[in-house]
Amino acid sequence: MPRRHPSEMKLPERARRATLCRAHHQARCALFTALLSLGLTSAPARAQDAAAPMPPAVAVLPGSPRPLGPGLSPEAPSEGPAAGGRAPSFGAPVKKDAWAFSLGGSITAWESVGIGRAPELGGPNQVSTPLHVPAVSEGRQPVGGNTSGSLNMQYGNSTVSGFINATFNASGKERQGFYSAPNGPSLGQAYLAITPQPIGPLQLTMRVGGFTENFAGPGQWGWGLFGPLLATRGYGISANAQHPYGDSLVFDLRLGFQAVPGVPEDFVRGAYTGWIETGINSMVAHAHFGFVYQGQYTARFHYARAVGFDERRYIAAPRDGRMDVYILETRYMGTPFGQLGVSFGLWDLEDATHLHESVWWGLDWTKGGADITRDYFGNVGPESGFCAPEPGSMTGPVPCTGIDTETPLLNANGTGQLFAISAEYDTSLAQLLWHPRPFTGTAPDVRLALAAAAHFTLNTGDPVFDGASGFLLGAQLDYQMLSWLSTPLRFFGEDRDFQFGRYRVYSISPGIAFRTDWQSTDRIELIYTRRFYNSGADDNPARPLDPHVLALGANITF
Amino acid sequence: MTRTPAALAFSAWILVLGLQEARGAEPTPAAAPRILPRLGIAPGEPQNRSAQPTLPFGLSPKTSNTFVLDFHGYLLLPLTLGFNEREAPLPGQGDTVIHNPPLVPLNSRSFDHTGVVPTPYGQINFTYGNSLISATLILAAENFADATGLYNPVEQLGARDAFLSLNLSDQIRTPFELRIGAYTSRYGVMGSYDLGRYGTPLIARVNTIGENATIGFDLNENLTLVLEQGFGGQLGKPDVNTVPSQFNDYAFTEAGATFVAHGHAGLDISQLVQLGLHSFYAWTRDDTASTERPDGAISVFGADARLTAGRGGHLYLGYSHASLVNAAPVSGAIEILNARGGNELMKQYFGGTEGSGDGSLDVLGFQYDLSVSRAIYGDLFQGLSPDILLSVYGMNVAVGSDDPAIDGTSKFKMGTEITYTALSWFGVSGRFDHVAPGEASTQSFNVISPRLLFHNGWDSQMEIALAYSHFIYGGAYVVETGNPPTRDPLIAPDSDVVSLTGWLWW
Repeated sequence: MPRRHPSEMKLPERARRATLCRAHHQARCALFTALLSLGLTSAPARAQDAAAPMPPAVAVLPGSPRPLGPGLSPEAPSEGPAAGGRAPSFGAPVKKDAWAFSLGGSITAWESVGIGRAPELGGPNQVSTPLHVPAVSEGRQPVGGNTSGSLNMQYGNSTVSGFINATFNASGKERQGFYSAPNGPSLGQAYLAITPQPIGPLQLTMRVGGFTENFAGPGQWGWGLFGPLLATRGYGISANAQHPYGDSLVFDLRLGFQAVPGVPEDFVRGAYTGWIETGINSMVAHAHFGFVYQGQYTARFHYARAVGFDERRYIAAPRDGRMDVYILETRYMGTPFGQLGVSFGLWDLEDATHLHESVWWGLDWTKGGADITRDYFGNVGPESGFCAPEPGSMTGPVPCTGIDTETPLLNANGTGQLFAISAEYDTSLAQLLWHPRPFTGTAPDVRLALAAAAHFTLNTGDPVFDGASGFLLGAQLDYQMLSWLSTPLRFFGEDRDFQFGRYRVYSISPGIAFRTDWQSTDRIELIYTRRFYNSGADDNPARPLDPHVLALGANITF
Repeated sequence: MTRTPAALAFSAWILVLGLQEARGAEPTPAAAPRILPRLGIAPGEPQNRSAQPTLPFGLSPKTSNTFVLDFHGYLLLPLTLGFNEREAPLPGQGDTVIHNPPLVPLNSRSFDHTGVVPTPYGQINFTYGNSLISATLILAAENFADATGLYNPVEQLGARDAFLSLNLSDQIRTPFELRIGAYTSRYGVMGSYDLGRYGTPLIARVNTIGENATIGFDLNENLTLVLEQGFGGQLGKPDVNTVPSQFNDYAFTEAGATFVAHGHAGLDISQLVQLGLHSFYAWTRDDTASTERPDGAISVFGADARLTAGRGGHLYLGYSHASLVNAAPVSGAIEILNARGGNELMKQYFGGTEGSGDGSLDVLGFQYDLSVSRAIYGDLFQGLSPDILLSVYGMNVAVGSDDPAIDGTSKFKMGTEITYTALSWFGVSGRFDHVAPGEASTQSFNVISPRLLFHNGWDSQMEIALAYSHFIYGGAYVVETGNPPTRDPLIAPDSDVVSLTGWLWW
């Protein structure tokens, strides 16, 4: 008689079996009782019909058959099992369910040529109109990307899925004249996304792994011409809860924690690795709370605290750095007017140069504590403990000895406050004119995006930057006259204080673009840019910046 | 038997959760998908929804007469934080410091490695082919660039493996597969389907570009003989002028072009017992490497036995003997206990790289895994209800050397893990490891690791683990740190590590 699972027995029968058990198999009975007390029998084996012949266990259980062969499949990962002993599926008997693969990505190829000017003190063979690749320029570029491909691979079902992002830039000698290692290929992000069944109206989602998250950009899709005001990166977790109230109000809450692996102090940095800070452990905790009303009005508060533990031994005064970020994001989005987003941000820094890059982006794409200190707080701070070398010496900074002739070097410590406001308005002229009829996007249109950001340094130890301010301006107009033809026009301006006065760069970029259909995601573009610099930006007479840039490129997303 | 009120309350709680699980097993209508308002931007954006691939996915080429594309992957994504106290904090520094990665034994090429604290790893496998021939490309990384802020070429493995598989079983009417290309072969696999708790092949690992042929013969209904041979070499070697640096993983310029020949015989008895014999010979004769070192060789002989006893669990026993003769210039074409080639073996087991690389290693290891529910209920248990998994595992290495200070030394490690999967989505696990990499007890350490495990089903292919590991070090234990990893007696290792890890495999 086949043995039945206890859950299939009625209680009196269980009692009888327990009595028999005690009588004949006291040791196994004790084990069974112990398991019962642990709740092992409370969840019966699902769909296990004792009357039907039982197939061999399909789960990855110890003792199950394994594929023949003296070794391990080369496809198996170079790792042990998951915690608790669950094995990877390579060669293991597991069930198939409705998992699906999806592939997205983009392919971009741009050539951008700078048409320059001869320097005032040119060499004997100086050409009058130099051509530069890449263009020698400052300020925002009207076209993005280089020659690259990006693949976003996702595999999973409605509950759990895995995501991997792979990036391939043209890195070989054929394209750049040398092998550029940091161009990849590289796997940039990988994470698990978990979406459990809703608990009543409450929907939870979670992300675990190595990833980036972006917040509070004023653009229509949360990004915009000037990017997010807060982005985080690292290995960690992000959990989101969303709860509707009535028909028109939805609250959401997101909490996250991420850490960027520290790099050993003796790690030899170079152009092939990127110039990251070494010897610092950095992590960021972030929280976000907001609501969407009637699907049109959004208000959301973002908070992040990044901390860094500086364990460098080659600097005189390592400290623990901190950066607090407070952002209020507001947004209107509706037909026919388009969307208007306005975000207000306050950055409060203390010794932020001792931070790594767990805050991936701050205002205007500044990375971590070092970038934001350089751009908004200045490089003057407390003495570093090192002094400038003797004139004519080929050595680097030397430890100060205290004599009067020494010139102490100052460390930027990244302490102070910065306030910024960033706004963007996006609209479609055809949508405005067609209203109240819906506009499907399959007719001539003028798309317009206007963006501006202003920033004010409220407090810093560097007197040059104390009270510093600046602004960014941006406009994108795209007149799609035919299904396959449009004329883009872009304008960007950057005007801000920096250590040598005022930094100003403006550019205007007319162009012509081709695509396969009204709504297609492919684009071929030829665009010319005229750039205007002040002396603060174009400050090297031996190598003047290019005033003209011509770019030809194509991109497709899928 | 008396129980404390707390124990009774815990049991009742588990019982209630179990009953809720049982009710929850009834099929319920799927909730309509909801479109969530955007809080931020998903990683990887901007992007559009994917178009369906034109090639059928998810169909194994082995079962298809036409060419299909198959896709698999594995992700191991840990957040690991090591906590330590500063001995003398400077102004502006707190007493507590948090390390990421933690300052604990993490180097997988060292005997100290246990795998308790995971490190990032991911791979994606693309296979294109049919039942006769298929090609596989594996992309892999040991870190993810966007999450680290660093492009470390050594961690971006890129195209780690690429090989063709030719299955001629139908043509010659017995299982036969020929594999040609660049791939890794691992022998001495302690786990049922994986490398075991230590993530270390017990006998050897071969990293070559070459060929591998496997053939099977059914001797009778209960006996199957499997024969396998392989031969290959490395694709290249460092030039003598190469400057060792972090971006080339500290190339050992005296390594020569290395070739590996290996043969294996296995006998399967009623799918219950598998016996294996393994032999490897790796050698180098390269006059462009070092003019001062003689030709080197590493030979390995191993034997293992595996019991797949159904309700009796899975037992692996293995032994190997590695003999090194002037092994310093033998490259990483062969790995023993994850140490690449003679140079790393000398560093890890023979007291340094100064010698010629003579010596021997005798390795003995085992792993036993048992499903308690399966032991009790046999095939009635389908893995779709609560279970307790028990594992015991260990490894011992005896070192033979001409150096009397090294000769006769041994390294030992052993551990156990108990996992209670209480609910379809939840389990708890505890692991204990003892590692004695030196002769003195003060050089050893112990690790205690309780964990909370979360899944999306009884037989899920994902796991999220929240773990705490407490390291107890002997007074003379020195941890590896820095780049390249070196033992620094001035560094106090972390005693407490918290990790949050996501696994997914498909």
